[in-house]
Amino acid sequence: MSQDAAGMGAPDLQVMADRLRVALADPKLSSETEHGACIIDLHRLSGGANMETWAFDLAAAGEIEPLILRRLPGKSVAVLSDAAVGELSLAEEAALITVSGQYGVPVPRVRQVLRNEHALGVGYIMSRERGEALPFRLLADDHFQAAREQLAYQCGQTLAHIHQIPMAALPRNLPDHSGALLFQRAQSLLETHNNVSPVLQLGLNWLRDNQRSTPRRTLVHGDFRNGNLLVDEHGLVAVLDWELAHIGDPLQDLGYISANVWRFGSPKPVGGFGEYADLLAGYAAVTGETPGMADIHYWQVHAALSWGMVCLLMAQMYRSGHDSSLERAAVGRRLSEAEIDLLLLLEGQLAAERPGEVV
Amino acid sequence: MSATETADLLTAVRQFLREQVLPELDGVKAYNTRIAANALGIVARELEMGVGLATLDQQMAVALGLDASIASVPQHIALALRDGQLAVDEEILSYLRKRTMLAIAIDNPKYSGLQQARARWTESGDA
Repeated sequence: MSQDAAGMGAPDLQVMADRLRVALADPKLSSETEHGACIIDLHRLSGGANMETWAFDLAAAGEIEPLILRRLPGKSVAVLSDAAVGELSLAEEAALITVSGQYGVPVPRVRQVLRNEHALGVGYIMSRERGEALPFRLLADDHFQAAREQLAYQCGQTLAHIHQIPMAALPRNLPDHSGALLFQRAQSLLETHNNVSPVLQLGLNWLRDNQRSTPRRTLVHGDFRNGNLLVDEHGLVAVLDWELAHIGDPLQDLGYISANVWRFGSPKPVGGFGEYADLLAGYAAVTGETPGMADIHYWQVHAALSWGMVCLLMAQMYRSGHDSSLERAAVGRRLSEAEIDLLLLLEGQLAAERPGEVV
Repeated sequence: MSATETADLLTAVRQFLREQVLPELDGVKAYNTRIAANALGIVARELEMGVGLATLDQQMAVALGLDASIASVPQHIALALRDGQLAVDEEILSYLRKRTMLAIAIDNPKYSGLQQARARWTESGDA
């Protein structure tokens, strides 16, 4: 085939490779040494129609460096792209990954944040770590047997490290989803999508009426789940996909990794690979505190609502013509997954099922 | 064209995508071809079962005393829940469970939540 998935022909790819080589050139090296560097096997990985992820190797000074490019192509930042699911710019995302690495979170190494003169769009280049992120392989392959046994505990530890990063060390302008802001944002999103789902509204009402008593405010990864974790045969290698990071209640991440939709059909509650007790033990090993199951349940309800809202957003991106990819259109139809999970989680939790209580 | 013929057509296209196109592809195109085949499955199931959604909505509209011309019963209930004008009683809950079980049976019948919901609610008379 003469074109790749991004619709680029061979000459375009060569231009892109040249620009990557220049963007990655070490200014300390002479231009002669730099000239010996080359970009190998540049190819696009799957992803949205706007946000692009590319894999390639940089060969320089006899060494091969495996790298990933995450970018929004073109000169302007798209108004409603994958990035609009979160509210973090790609430069902020890169800064957050770097800070997280400094505080003991396993993450890829940010190699270069793109600037205008690189002519590659908006984004950054990071190390391509070894390991597997595909949920079905992680859950089914014997190769990951030992990793699966460690992973819930490691997720607990890693989330604790994320939540312990001092607020002062974080990039400014992280979206704030703490306290009432969370409910306001969710309600406004339901309005934007024409209030099509009574079940999502029911879930939001329940979250508002059953707020946690003493929420903390920390960095929240926001998309910490099976599929965004790079795992090798020993366990967790790197936490990926930071674009939904925000400030909020840290326990949100623990409910999220335990959400039914991210178990991929497996009966094991944590990511489809582990048990609650291991997740909580890993968390307690770092923080000294063991979150309660009521907290996990509360944030599982939130995770189901969040998935429903993502489905609404994806469907809207398709309908608006902003992203005409088949994947966007199809994900809209997964709203009913979020709805059935919400109804299951809320069984026995609603006033109608608690006779004798004043409604 | 009758509904049966439409369903057959969808099945044929779906089979073509899965059995003849998919083996020729890899990467993003294989991924999207799987999504395309799945999407046709949703359409086929909606042709078969979608009328059930409308029936549930009509029954609920009658129970709530709504105008028969109301555009969307689910939207009406969502707005009433938002505004605190509707208590979530057994009748509403039963409607939401039945409707959601039917919707997921159309959209993604393999989803684990549907099996759990059927186990919990089907025998108790909710569906």
